[in-house]
Order: sequence, then C-alpha cells, then structure tokens
Amino acid sequence: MLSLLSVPSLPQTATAQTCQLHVAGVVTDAAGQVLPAATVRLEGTSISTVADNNGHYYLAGLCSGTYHLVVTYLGFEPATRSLTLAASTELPVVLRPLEGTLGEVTATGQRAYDTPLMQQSSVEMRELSLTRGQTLAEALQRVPGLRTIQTGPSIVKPVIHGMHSNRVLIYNAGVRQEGQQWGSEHAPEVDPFVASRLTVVKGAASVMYGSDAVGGVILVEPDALDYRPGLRGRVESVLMSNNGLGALSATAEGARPQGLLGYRVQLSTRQAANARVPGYYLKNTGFQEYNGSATVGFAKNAFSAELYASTFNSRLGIFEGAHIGNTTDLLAAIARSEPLVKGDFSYAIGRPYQLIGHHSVRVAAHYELPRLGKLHLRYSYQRNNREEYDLVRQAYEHEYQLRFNLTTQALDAYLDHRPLGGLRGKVGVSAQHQQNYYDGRYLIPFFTNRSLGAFATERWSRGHLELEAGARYDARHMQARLREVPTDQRSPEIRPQFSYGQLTGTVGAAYQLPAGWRLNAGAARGWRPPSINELFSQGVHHGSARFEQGDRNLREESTFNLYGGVTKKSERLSGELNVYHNRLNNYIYLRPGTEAVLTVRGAFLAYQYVQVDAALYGTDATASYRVADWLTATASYSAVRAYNRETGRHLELIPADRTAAALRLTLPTWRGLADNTLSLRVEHTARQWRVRDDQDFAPPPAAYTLCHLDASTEAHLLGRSVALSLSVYNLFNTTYRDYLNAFRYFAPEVGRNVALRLTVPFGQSPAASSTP
Amino acid sequence: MTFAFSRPASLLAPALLALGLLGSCSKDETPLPAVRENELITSMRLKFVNQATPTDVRLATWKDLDGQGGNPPVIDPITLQPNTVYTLTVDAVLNETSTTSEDVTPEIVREATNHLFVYKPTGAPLTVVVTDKDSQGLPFGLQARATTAGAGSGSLRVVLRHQVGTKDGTETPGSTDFDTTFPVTIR
Repeated sequence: MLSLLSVPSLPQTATAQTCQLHVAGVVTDAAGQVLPAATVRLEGTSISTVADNNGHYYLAGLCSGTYHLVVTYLGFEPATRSLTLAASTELPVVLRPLEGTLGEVTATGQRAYDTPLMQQSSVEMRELSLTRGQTLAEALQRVPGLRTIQTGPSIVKPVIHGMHSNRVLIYNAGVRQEGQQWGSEHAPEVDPFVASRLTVVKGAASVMYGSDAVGGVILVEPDALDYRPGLRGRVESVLMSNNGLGALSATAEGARPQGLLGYRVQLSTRQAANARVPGYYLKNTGFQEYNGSATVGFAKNAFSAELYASTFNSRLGIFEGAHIGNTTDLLAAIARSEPLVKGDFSYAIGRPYQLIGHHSVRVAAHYELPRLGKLHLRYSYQRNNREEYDLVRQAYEHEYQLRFNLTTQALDAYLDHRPLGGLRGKVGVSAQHQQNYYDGRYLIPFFTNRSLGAFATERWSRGHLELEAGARYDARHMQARLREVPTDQRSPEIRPQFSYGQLTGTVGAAYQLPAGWRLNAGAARGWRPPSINELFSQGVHHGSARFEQGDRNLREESTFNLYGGVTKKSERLSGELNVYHNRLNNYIYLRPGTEAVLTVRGAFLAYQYVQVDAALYGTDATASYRVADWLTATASYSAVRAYNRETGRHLELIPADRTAAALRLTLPTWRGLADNTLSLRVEHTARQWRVRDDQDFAPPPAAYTLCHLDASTEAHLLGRSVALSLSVYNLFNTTYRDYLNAFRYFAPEVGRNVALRLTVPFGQSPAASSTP
Repeated sequence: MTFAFSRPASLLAPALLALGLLGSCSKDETPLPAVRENELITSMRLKFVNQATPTDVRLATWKDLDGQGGNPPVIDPITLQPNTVYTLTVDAVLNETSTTSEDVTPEIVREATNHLFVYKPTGAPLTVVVTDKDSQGLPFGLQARATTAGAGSGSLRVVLRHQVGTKDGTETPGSTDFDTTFPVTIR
C-alpha cells in the first residue's frame, strides 16, 4: 500500500528524447490465469488503460523517463512496478489475491467486471481532452459506429448503430440517466467535463443495464476517488472561434491525511453565442450551461461508501429560422436556400428556448464480503426539470408554454462474486420509481412508473477462451393520468394502466489468437417498453410541422442482436472489424402519414406511432497502422442498413455511410514542448439515398467531405505540465447539410471552428514533489 | 422467473422494501393542469358589410372547438352579391377551449406591428385589398375592402402571419397563427 501512497516522479521531459515508446504486457494471477479488464495506469499521469479480455494491456506514446505503473483488479492486491523507460518494454504483471484480513482498501480505479463481453469502445482521457467544450454526443463522434442526431447546432444526441433517444441508455457516474429522453430535441443532460472516460457498449445490453438498452449504452465515467492525501486538481479552459464558446472547468480533489476520507469538487460552465454557418450566423443558437458535482468518499478496511451530488443547468436557444407554423411554412422554408432571418454575433438567447435542470444525489456503499465477493448497494435520486419557452403571441416575459418535471428514485443491489470454479459474475436486483408531472401545453400526461428487475451474468475463462452468459427479468407498471380529450378542460380524468415485462438473455464468446488477434461473437436480447410519447402524443410537434398521434395499444419492443468481430492489437497494426444484426420485433416508429389534419393553423400531415417488424444491420471497421515511429495512419468505415421486414422498405432517419482517414504525426520535443502531436482527419459522409420521396418533405442532403485538424503539446511551466491543444473543425469552411439534423431544411451545418484548449494542473501535483 | 442467488433474501429484501416505501409516498393528487393552449385559436369570424347598403351584413365563421385533430372544423360558406364593394373585417378571433370564450382580437390589435392578415381569393371573381396600417405604417389587414365582379364561386383563404421583429409588409417572414379557407359563392 505504501507504494500506492508514495508520490512518483514524472519523467523529466527536458531530458526526454522521444515520446514514441510503449509498455505492454499481460496481467495474470500467480497461477498464470489471465485477468481481463485490470486497470493499468501510470501514476501521476493521465495515462491509463484497461487490459483487454486476454489480460493484455498496451500504453503507447510514452516519453523516456521513470514511471510507476499501477495495476488494480477487483479481489487482488494492487501492484506497483517502477520502470525506467529508455526503449519500448514488455512488462508482465502478476497480481496476488487479497487474503483474509484486508489492508486498507484503495478505490484507485478498481474496475471490476463492469461491462459485458460485447462490442465496445472507450474514449480515454487523452483523446477526451481533445473534445472538451463539445457536447457528449460530439465527443463520441469518433467512436466507430457512433453518429449524432441533431436539432440545430446546440442540441446533439448520440446515435449507436442507427439507434438513439429511448433506445440508448446513458449511465452517468453509475446512475441510469432519467430525463425526457424520448424527444429527439432533448439533448442528454450530462456534463462531459465530469468524465475521465467514455465507454460505449454497442448492441442490446439489457441484461446488465436494464430495459431501453436496445441500441446500446453510454457510460460516462469519472475518475475513481483518489485517497492520496493533499489537495490537487486541474483547470481546463476552452475557447472556440465559431460561436465564441468559452468553457471552463475546475476540479479539486484530495483526501484527509489518514486517507480514509476523500473528496472531489468539480464546477464547469459553457457559454456560446450564435453559431456561424459559412456566410452568416444562425439567430438564437447560443447556450449557457452551469454544472457542478461533488463527491465525498469513505474507505476503511472492506467497506467503502460514496456520496455524489451533481447539478446540470442549461439554457438552450433554438434556431429562430426553424420556427414555423404549418406545412405550408415548412415547404416555403425548404424552398429557400437561406433562412429569411439571419443573426449576428450575439450571446443573447430569446424565444424559442429550453431551460433544463437535472439534479441528482447518489449514495453508494460497497462491502467486501469474506469469501463471497463485493456487495454493492446504490440509491439514487434524480430530478429533471424541462421548461420550453415557445415563440408565441401570448408569451409573457418569464412564462413557459410547457414544463415537465420527472423525479426518479432507484435502488440497486448487486454482488460481484469471487471466482467460483472459474466463474466470475454479478447477480443483482434493481428497483425504480418514477413520477412525471407537466404544466402548460399538453404533450405527455402525468405518469407513475414502477419497475423491478433481477439479473445474473457470469463469465468463464480458460486459456484463450472466454464465455459469458446472463439473464434478466424486468417488469414495469405504469399509470398515466390525463383528460380523456387532453385539450378539453371539461373532459373527465382517466387513469389508464399499463404493465410491461420481458425476459432477456445474453451469450458471448471471445477467443484470443496469437499475434494479438482476437475473435468475438455473441447474441443478446434487449427490450424497451413503449415510451410515454409513443403512447400518448396527440398534437402538433413543435417546429416539425407534423401532427403526431400516439397509440395506447403499443406493446414492448424487443430486439435480437447478433454480433461478431475480429480485433487486432499489435505494435504496428491495430484495428477491428465488427458486424451486427438486430432483428427488431414491434419496432415503434413514427410513420409519416399522407392524410392531412386540418387545424386553424392550416394543414398538417398526420404521423402515427406504429409497430412493425424491422431489421437493422451494419458494420464498423477501423484499422490503424504505424508506418514509422512518428507516423500513424488510420482508416475507418461504418455503415448501417435498416428496413421494415413487413414491407421490405428502408426505414427513415438512419445515418448514411461514413468513411474516414487520418494521419497522426508525433513530433520531437522542441523548446520544452513535449508530447507534440499533429493529426489530420478527412471524413466523407455519403448521401442517404435509401429514403423514398414520401418519407420526407425534402430529399436527403448531398454527400459531404470534411477535414479536421488537431495539434497538441505539453509545456513545462513552473514545474507543471500544462497541456495545450488547437483543433480546427471543418477546416475548409465547407457548406453542407446532414441528413440526421432536424434543421437540415432550414440551414446548413456550422462552418469552420477553431478550438483552443489549455489544461493547467494545480496543488500538490505529483510532479512537483520528490519521491520519498 | 427466479435466479439462483447466493443469498437471494439479503439482496431482494431491501429492494422490495424500498419499492414499497417509494410507492407509498407517491399518493399524489396533484390536480391536472388546466388546459392551456397558448395562442390557440379555435374560431374566427369574417364580417362583410356592403358599403352601398350598410344593413347588408354577412358573417362567416371558421370553427374547430376541439382543437387539433378530433372532429373536423365547421366552416360557414360565404355568399356575396356580384359587383359589390364590401368592408371586410376580421370580426372575432376566439379561443373557446376553456369554459369562457376568450377574444384574442384585442391582443392581435395591440401587437399589430407583429402581425399581418393576408387574403387570398381563388377562383371566385373577388379581390381583397388591405386598408388599415400598423403604427409603423405597414399593412395590418384586420380591415380590408372586398370587391366582387360577376357571379362565380371559389374560395377565400385568410392567413394570420406572426412576424415578431421581422414584419416587412409581405407575407414571407414569420410563422402562421391561423390559416383558414372559406368557400365563396357570388350570386
């Protein structure tokens, strides 16, 4: 334990000649059994990784110098290895199991059997730091198979393998995020500055994460609480040229001298003016965000507990040019090449806008049960408040037209059991209670949800083979309260009730081949109950010029997900090729109608929520080759196809194929600037031609090609390592529109954007102290 | 569905207990919010006054009491005399969703600089010219002059455009507050 608490020295960058070294190896137990998913990090740096399922870890891009490599794994004593790196090194690590009386438990990045054996990708701190200031969905853009669905420049949602919103779950710091996720213009209420890692599980992951994980799961993971005494932290700042964005995040953390009590406080803000498309500004597209979180942790012997609280507050302007009255207005807007009303450079936000607050408190306790495993208990409370301020005639100063208030409480308990004859796994239960109110204009009713679930998932490994199987049952009971005719005050109140339940299962296998090749394949079932809007919508959807009609008889949607892939990890070549097939039964979607509903505002096409049997399949491929020590070339491709199995026709709003190529240069240390990298990325998005004329108001936009540039360096100032980076998005200021942006009808996408990022550590930084 | 838990009772008990607790404290009886459809217009009425014979008044109402969807709107036909000049007024713009009907017209008049009524006759030998102006000197359209020629039939479309800060006298800017079409017969 002493070695963990000691403060390692950072490699002296001044003497570093090269930053192209790597450390790699396999993490095993004393018997030589591999330990998949052990956390490997370099103490005092932000460099860390998680060993793959064959126990193999790989840390690249290191400068020469002295490092302390810390390996942690659930149920095993953490190990620290000191190494002086002059050339790339192989360093196998053997861990000893924790025995009988436990020493002080450190919570340093213990990463247990957390994610299923499925297709997944992570964005680690190093890469994540180049996305600071962007939204969660934008930060995930480079993950193979991930895309975004947008409503103008400021509302961005992640799309996994063609699925989004209520088919994608977000776990924010261990808590299932519960907002009004059903709306495609409801962005996730997540502050990406909280994350030190983003992990995406692609595919139906309902067994481990519950209902709604039909398309996949996004894990927003903060660093584990650091119990080393002292106070330290960092300030991250971002400036962007396009919309005058300024973002600032400050994190401070430390622990009491005895190391029993650790804490972290994080505050961040993002402020942006109108976004600029090539030639003009989009009026009313600025935003303001104020977020914060605080964690207090206690760890003694086999027990540890954490209290976490967070708040997210956002005011989001919605492009005024997208405010339309009816279908005629929409068609007129589409016919114009530019919006009638253009903005200027301004931080002012007027109607229409959204005011969103998301606040949460979570208490988690962990107890290492002798011979049984680790027991986790978690209670969380979340409150989501969404107010929408429309541009309407009777819009008084501070009056909203629509407000939702969703309160969610959840209780989870699970056991991470000790290996049992080669089996490792989790068994657990979860319960959730949810209450929704609204005020103002009717869109969705009051409702109360009660859910209960139980699951077990086990992993077995021997030699090169790993197998996983799991099962889960979830049940949900919902009661809604509304007027029989929601727009008629005199209509009687009704309380329809709904019960949903589904059994899900998963099987997976992985096989490690020589030379870093690895095969994996599996099958999983996922499901979701119909969301509230799909059951109860009745009215014109704001800004989309369509009359949406829900259906109370909708049943559970389920998917059968088959996947397979091959990955390769070696010094020169790394990459992956994955394929997937989702067979969806009772897939719920909004079918464009042909009949018009006549209202006082004119005619609207009636869209109806219907259930069909569908199929979504596709591929993600990426390959990276180190041409020379200073040059790495990467290419990637992703494609998804979706069709209605009943009619054989393609489904709407599916991302078009994307091909990307990138060159990454590692430059030598120059005048005290170390760790210099320059990368250029070219991205081509094809036109989505798989849309018939009657599926959209306008044909999908043309294909487009964009170039992006990233340059980053680390400078030593006053004994601290200050990270500086410059990114240019849409380098050539290309004018384009994207099929997955709801505002494609009204305006193009944003033009060139130059982002400058600076990260300064402070406090008792490991680099500033000497090694005891 | 049951699972082979190592200690099912220790795991399930707190979860079920909590669900019971959570459930028991949720006996809310928060009343449903009053129906509030902002700027919802359910009815609008046109008034034609024969300029030669002011006692010749013709009214036509466009009414959709249950709002969007539901029952289709009830639309009165307009019948006018040939070769006549009428003073045309948007007589009432009502929100009748709540028990008391609310006349939205004064509000539109107050915000005349943000609104424009547009008249579009089709088919019938009818011309409509806006006669009033807002405080900025731009056409408003609450009042207009309708002139009929020979006999015939067609329709009259009346559109109220909401043009906050963008009004320029044309129909193009802004969004639509109402868009109604009446059948017209001239005989």
